[in-house]
Amino acid sequence: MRFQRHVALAGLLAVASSTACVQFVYERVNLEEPIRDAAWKPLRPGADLQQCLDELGAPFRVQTVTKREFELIYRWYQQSEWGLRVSYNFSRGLGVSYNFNNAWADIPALRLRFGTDCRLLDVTKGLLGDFVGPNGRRRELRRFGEAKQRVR
Amino acid sequence: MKQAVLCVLLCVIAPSCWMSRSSTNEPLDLRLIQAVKPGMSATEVVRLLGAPSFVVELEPRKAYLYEHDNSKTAGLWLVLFLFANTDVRSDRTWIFFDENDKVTHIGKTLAADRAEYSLPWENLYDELPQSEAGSRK
Repeated sequence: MRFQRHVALAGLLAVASSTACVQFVYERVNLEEPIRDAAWKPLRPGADLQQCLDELGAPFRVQTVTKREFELIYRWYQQSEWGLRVSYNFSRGLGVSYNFNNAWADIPALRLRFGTDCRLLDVTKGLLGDFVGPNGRRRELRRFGEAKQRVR
Repeated sequence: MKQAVLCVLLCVIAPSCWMSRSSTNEPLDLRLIQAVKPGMSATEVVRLLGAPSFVVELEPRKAYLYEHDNSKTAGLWLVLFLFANTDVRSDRTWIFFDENDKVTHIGKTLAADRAEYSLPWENLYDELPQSEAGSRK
């Protein structure tokens, strides 16, 4: 009885997978090399912009906050996740597919704030969503979408 | 017998592997970037590097971005299971100008050619050389 159940389950999986309508997906996306704490922690308020650029490289984004301040934003992302993909073709040219997976975690980021004299005011480590406005976030999510699309 | 099993296994797995690559813009040329020096005018920079990808106004300053992305994806499809990894790295240069359109600061990261094909259980960043682990120059 137990054996028959296993055979039935294996048969069901075989049928489902033979049409590729069910798939378990394990994928990883790496976006940029991470900035280690050892690189940014020694930076102190008053440091020159060039010193910060030499230590950390080119930022992902440069933006103004007020007329007296601007910011450099660094971000990086490494995450792997399991997901389940289900798709079905109703007829020729008509089909649906859906992915069940964890929402992408927010993106780690580093913000360096400078005054008009190009001297560092402060450094904050946080999430990209906290540092960039809706336009920057949309642009970033679109890039993730494109990166994930390449997998599919 | 072992060889036959390995051969069959190879025949089954090999057709289910794939690799793809895509990029945005031309790779940045280190020699040209190094030729940009503080005091150069915006016109000279554009003559040297071409049109920037992005310009940010930082009243009264401004900054030009030159950018190239390189993305490599590798995957393995085993009937029910799909394993895939995408590695995206960039060449990026920001050039800052003062109110007279003269170069004041330059920041560069040239990492696009370090993008790798790998499978998702590999951690590509554990093996970064120490000189690259902190800074992304």
